[in-house]
Amino acid sequence: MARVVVRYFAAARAAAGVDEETVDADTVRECLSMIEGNRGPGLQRVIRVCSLLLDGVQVRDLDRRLSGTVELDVLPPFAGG
Amino acid sequence: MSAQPVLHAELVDYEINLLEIVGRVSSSESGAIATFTGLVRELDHGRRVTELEYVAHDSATRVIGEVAHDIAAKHSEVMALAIVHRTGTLRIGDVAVVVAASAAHRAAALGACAEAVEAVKTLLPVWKRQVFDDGTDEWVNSP
Repeated sequence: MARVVVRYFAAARAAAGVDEETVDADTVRECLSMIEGNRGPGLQRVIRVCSLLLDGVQVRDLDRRLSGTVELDVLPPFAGG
Repeated sequence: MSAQPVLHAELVDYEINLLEIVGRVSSSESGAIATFTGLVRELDHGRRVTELEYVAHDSATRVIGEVAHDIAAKHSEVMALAIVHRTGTLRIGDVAVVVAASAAHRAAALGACAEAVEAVKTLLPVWKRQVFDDGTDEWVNSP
């Protein structure tokens, strides 16, 4: 079990209604299902198109076991320029 | 062996000065400087925009440097490349991004400039929120 600090950005922050929250989860997949349950379908819709960074590194395996305290950044599609 | 290109890449929260950036990439060796200026546009899909807010992820400063480095490495004739992106709240007509590339000849400068603009659009972790004249807003590219 890990303590996951979830940080929301841009549209994900607007949909979540908070800047960040902390959940206890074993995997990123479990963490996502918890925060979607907490925050509702608006966030679910945005998360589907987001990229995820775990401690700054792109998440490839949603089912990898997590431990300790980790930071999960939820990044909507970029729109610079 | 060619000299290392001069690179300048940053996010700023103040007005971008195109001529200052042109000056940064200019040298006695450069015969061509290509620039791109991205502006805040009033109409988006027929809706009137009143302001635009750009926000950046913590990693954006690192990424914009990597983009400049990679484009310059790919275009070996480029002598200097500058990429500057603004953050914060912007009004119609404000400059959101400037790219400037210098080289001995125009083809290299134009090619590197165009490619850097595309790379900024796809790789830079920056988001924009459009505020419309009816008071509603939206995050661009997000559902």
